[in-house]
Amino acid sequence: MPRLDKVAQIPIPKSMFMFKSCVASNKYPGIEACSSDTMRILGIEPVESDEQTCCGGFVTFANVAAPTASMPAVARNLSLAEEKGLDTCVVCNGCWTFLNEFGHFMNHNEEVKSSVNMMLNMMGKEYKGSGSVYHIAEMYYRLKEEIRENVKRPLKGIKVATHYGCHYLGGGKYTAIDDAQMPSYLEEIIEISGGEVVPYTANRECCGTGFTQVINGKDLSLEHTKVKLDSVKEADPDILVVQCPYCHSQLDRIQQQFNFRNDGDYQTPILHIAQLVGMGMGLDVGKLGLAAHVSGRARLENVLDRIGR
Amino acid sequence: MLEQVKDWDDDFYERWKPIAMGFVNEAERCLQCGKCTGQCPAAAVTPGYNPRKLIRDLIDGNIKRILSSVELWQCFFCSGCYSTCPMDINFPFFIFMLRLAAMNEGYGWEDVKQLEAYAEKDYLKDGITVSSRERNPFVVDTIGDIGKIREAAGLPTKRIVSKRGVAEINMISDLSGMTSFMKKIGGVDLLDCTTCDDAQAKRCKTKPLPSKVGKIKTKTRFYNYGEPIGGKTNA
Amino acid sequence: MADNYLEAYGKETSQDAGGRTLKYFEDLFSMEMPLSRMMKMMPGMVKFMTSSKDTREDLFKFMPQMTPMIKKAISGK
Repeated sequence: MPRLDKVAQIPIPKSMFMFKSCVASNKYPGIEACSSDTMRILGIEPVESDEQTCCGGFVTFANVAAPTASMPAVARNLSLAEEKGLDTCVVCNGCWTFLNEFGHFMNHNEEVKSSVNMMLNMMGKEYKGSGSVYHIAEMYYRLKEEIRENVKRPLKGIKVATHYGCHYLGGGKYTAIDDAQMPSYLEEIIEISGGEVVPYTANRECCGTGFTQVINGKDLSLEHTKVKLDSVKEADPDILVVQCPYCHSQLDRIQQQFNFRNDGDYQTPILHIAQLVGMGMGLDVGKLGLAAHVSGRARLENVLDRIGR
Repeated sequence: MLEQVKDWDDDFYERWKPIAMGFVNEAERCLQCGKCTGQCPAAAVTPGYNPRKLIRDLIDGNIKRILSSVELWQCFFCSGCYSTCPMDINFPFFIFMLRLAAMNEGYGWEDVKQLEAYAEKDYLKDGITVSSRERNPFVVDTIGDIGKIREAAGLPTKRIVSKRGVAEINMISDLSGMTSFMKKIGGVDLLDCTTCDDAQAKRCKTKPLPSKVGKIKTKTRFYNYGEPIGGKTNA
Repeated sequence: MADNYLEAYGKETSQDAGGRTLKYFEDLFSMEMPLSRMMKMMPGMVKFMTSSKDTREDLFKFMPQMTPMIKKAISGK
């Protein structure tokens, strides 16, 4: 159940810095387009910068970059939003955890912060630590009444299952807006958008990507993803909604790999929450970027037929 | 189980805490309750992987066993253990730090080498860690050109990070030692010990590194915590 | 080839492995700036400076901040 006191503390600014996700930009551009447009409709002007790079979480936790290298990179990205006096909005669980943890670390560690700022000063930048990082799902829940008022294409009769992923609720044990074992905010957003929630047993299971495990230890990763996908298939939703592009990429693409190996027939469409909210708000179908999806394409077309294009 | 109490380093953890500057903390509060392992997705697939045992070895100081194990590299990084831990022990950070320590001892380079290209060819060249390149021919056939999908969504055909941004992260990487570390990983020559012959044995020598870390020899890891059941044999 | 980790480590104890690990992290997180470390940073800074006109200007503006650090590194205090 959402922690309403935490939710009430989320500010509703006039504008936010939209942090672009690597996977979303180059694999699922619908997430990028829908996140900006839905925020605009909800009254928050999205601001972007092409100086913003990858958050650095992947190369850090893959042990290619030591934390001494990623700390300045995080500070640099956050300083771009600070310069404009804005808070940052991310669409990815990994970015959220990484930027928040390393950001907090610097705020509680003056020595590290000044050492990092020395490097940033060389580029004419400075990190003060005054901005906050919010996940777009948090913003959607905070603005759920505004979403309700703006639903133009209700997802009537569409069965939607949820996948919260690991890092937001797990890493945000005390800072996330909901409980890690029994979250329900995505369900509320789905119902507000007109959809019907479908439960399934492996709801709180990890998607199986395992961060780098899908590259280093692919067999372990795939074994876990299969458990997840089998459980989803049993419930047979029209859409599985996620809030992280990396989960999105894994669940979408691995279905095709299993089908190719004749290891089953998986055809569940995966949508990011930004795309789902965008769909409900009546965004143009091109914006949803559904052509980039690998699995469940026919079913996505069927969903659009049912709710109206 | 292979362990020898007499060569445990039982004050390692106490000495490590101040040096690691808040990245590691509180492991000594572990109750050995096992809630972490109970919900762990990696443990569900391969029961040899056991966070409870790793923490116990860390506090007791059985460093050799942790650093030389394959299990250290099986963590899925899901933070479920941290989430469910009654003592708030941030276990994924331990794995993160211990992997760095294991690399220093010469373990795990085979894994990290597969990831190095993301840093060198994508992150430091374009500022984006995932490129739009697609290797899977089925996916290429299905989705076509991602640039066109971006255009249909009202975005610029290609996401570009400014030259200035790329120059800045390159400077950060150079100054903090990431570039040289990365090149070291890329330059590691991986030889398969199971197919060793005379010519290869000659090449199998210590590989020198920049002076700060010293010389290491990349080594094979062992399953130190039990027989692997899940996945294929080399996880 | 060794059968297990104890054989592979041979005579070395966990104290040895632990000691190396501690030294590694001490070096990694050290915030001291001896001259050797500063010299290693030079190529990266030069590369940044030559990349464009405004990177050159930004780095020049930073120079006054660097002088006390260089003095400290050279004098070894």
